[in-house]
Amino acid sequence: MDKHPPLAPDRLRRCCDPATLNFTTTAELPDLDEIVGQTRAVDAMQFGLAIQREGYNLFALGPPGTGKHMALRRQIGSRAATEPAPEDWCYVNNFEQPERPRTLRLPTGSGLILRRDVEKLLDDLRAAIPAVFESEDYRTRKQVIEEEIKERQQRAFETVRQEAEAKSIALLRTPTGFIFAPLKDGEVLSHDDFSKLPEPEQRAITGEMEVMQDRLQAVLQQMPLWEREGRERLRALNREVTTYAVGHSIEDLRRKYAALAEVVNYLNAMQQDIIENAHEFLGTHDGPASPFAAIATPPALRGSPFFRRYLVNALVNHVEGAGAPVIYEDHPTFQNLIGQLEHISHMGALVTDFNLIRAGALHKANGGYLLLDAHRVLMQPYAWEGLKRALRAGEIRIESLGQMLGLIGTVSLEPQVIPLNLKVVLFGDRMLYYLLCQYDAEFEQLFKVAVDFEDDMKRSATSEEIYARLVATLCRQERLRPLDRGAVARLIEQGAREAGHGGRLSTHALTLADWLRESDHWAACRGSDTITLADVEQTLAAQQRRAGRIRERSQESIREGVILIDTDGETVGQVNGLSVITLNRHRFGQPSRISARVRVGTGEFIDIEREVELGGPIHSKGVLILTSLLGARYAPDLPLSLRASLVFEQSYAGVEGDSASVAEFCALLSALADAPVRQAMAVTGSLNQHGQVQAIGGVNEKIEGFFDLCRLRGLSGRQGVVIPEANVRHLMLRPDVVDAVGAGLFHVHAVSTVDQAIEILTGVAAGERNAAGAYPEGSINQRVESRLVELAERRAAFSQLGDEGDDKNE
Amino acid sequence: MSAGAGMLTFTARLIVLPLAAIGNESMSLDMAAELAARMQAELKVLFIEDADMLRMAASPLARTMHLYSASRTETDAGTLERELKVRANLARDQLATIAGRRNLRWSFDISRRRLIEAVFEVVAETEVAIMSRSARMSGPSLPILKLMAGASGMEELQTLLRQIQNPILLVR
Repeated sequence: MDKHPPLAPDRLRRCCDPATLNFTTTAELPDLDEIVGQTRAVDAMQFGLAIQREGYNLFALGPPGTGKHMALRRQIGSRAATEPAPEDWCYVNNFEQPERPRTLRLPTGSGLILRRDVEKLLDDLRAAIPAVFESEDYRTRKQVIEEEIKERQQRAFETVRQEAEAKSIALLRTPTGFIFAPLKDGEVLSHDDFSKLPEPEQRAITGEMEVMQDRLQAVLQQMPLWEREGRERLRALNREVTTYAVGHSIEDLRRKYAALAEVVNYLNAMQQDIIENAHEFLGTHDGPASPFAAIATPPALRGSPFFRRYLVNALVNHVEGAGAPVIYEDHPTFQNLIGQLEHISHMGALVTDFNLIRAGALHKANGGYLLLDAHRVLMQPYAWEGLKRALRAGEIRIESLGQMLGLIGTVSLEPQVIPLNLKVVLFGDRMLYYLLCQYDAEFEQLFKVAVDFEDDMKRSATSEEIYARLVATLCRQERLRPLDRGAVARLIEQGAREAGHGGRLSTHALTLADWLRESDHWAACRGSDTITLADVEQTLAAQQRRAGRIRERSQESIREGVILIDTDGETVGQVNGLSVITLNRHRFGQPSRISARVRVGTGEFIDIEREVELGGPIHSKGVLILTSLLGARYAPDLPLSLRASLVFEQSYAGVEGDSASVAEFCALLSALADAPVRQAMAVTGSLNQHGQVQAIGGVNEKIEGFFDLCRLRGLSGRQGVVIPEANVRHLMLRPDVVDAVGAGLFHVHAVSTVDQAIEILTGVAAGERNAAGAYPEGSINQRVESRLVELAERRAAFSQLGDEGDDKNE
Repeated sequence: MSAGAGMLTFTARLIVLPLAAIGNESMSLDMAAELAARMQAELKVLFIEDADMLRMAASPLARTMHLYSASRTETDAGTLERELKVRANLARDQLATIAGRRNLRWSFDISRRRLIEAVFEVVAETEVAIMSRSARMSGPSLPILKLMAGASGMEELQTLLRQIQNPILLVR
């Protein structure tokens, strides 16, 4: 009887019997309303969404494709639908400090209504105010004021003129003022005539001139005061008529928004501003073209940049009954998150106003939920800082990056901050989550709930049924053909293979959806209404083929003898190891020749991979462990007197992992014992210091890699693989491998100790120490120990020769 | 064909605007240009350097009081002449601009004589004369002639107005 019988075929693949599936096609199965295999994540999700405390934002971590987005969106969506829609937010002009626009918080759905109301009001006022100013009543009253002032001035001038005329003094306008000159007989008195006058008369004329100049001066000094008075009275009149025109229209709005004190205050301020700027509502504007001409403006305001000051910027608007907002920001730049102040280039300068404040995702999601991809947030400059700052402060402060960093000090707007109350959900992989935990001190304070998604779930009859329903749900979502039982059973098996464990099922819904889409395609090509086992097989085979270029080239190299791998015969110190190559999501196994050489030495183990820096630290660790195992296990009382070298032959890239340590140790034992190793076998497994074989990764791919090579060369019935016993539960081998095993053409041996492995590889008993501490004669272990003793003696002999030589020299 | 609202019912080939540089010429120029454009007439501006004013300024007894500062200085004929020259240039430039905008034929003359005589001549010889009242900017509007000419001037004006047949447009 075989001491180490190979595994039976039923242990190589945990099949799913279609007969156990209680349906004909997936069309009969109801939709899945739960998240498959994610109870931990679901609990965390429900807790994180329910708790209303600061910092309890969520980070959904797990590999892509596990349905994080779908699960959270569904959960949040159903929750948000039952929650009230938040209030609307508007920005309006701050008439006292225009550089600090004010916010208006309005009941849900009122933002756009207020904006329309104000636009209509302005439209009305643009007609009503000019109408009042063009009315006969106004013009008459204005004329009366102007005439009154003019008459007052005229009277004053006329008085002076008449008085001057009576005193024979001419008063004449010049381009810059008035000239006084004495007259005689209606003509200006010349200097000579003046000189001829008696001195008293001269003095009298001079005195009169002075008096008249004083009079005129007094009139001229009075004139600005009269003009100012006229302007004041005109202003008062304007205010009076504007108040009448505005008050009537605005009162309706005040009544409509009476319950909203903020809005009423704003309307009052707007009314006051309109009264002060009533002239802007009159006539046409021939000023420079508006810099805002390119911006969509309500018809009532086109061509009137001044009126932008009265507009309402309805920043965030919600619909009553629509539930809390759920926003997914696909491009989370700083501006897209926090909002921004847009500018317009005008005459070489950038100008802005409160109407150009744009909402960010935080505004839109305020009062609800914001979903972000963590990696994208981190990739955008300052987006992460901006997000954290908003969450920390509990408010949204719109400012430019330059302002935030203190790089620019130009005058811009400082919009009033908006209080922030929302749940942020970040999505990312595990490494990102733990890196943030490690390196960002604020992260854990702001994202306290980790929603950790599993890669796979336990496989059972129940979970297989759930998996079938997941298939049915995806088919309906994607509008694919239903699957028959055979196809579903095959997908369940492939789900286990994807999980790398016969007893588990992958939760990677994205991959499953791809299989379904592609199977649907093949079914369509066949003209079938149902996806069958053949379609699924074709899908999987096609995927393998598409991704298999490098695998095939590698096998070709081995077949052509470029890469030396024996699959038959026996060789001392040479073992077939197994490695896995991962290219994107595609993995395949590839055999590697591992060889060992020994000679007398001083206990040196040369790991050639490490020496040339092709070996990774875990591989080096494996080599050090087997070194320790060798020293402790054989001739422990003697110094280890060998020089051994280990190498992955024809390996020109890096080697990492310790899954080759069993193969390396077996190669070493073979070399020491001079026991040939069967090249029809390959081995994988890691080793501990006690000679136990430990589990490794990628066991299925490794076995299949060697199987494919053997099949290429022809299965002899002697070929097979040695794997760790601990990996048997992971086996989900391809059906063709299982079939070959069933036919006795290929073998899979599971071992738990290195002794079992060497016995299978050499066909020689490893041997156990007897009561006297000796290994059985002829056993591998006895031969190894004998060789090590021999090497120690040789070394001692050499040492003695050396000492004698030294003595002679002395 | 009857004239519509705002249409002029008479036409003229030449419109003359006498300017005395003692008021707001801009408004007068604008209105005259508007009228000329509507009549498709030539606009002639006669800038009058008032001989009475210059004679008064030459008197060592004359005193000037400035309009916008109410300050007084001795009158200097040279300064007054320069002021008139500046105002004439400004008026010419302004006329060129306004006329260019309206595609008007125009001319600009400077005449040094008594204002009253110059005005009488224009009124008597021209189809349409525009008489603008002098004005302190945004201040009182006093008739030029009244202010300047005194009682005898008014009598002369009244006599002339009785004699002439051509229309006179009085602009405030």
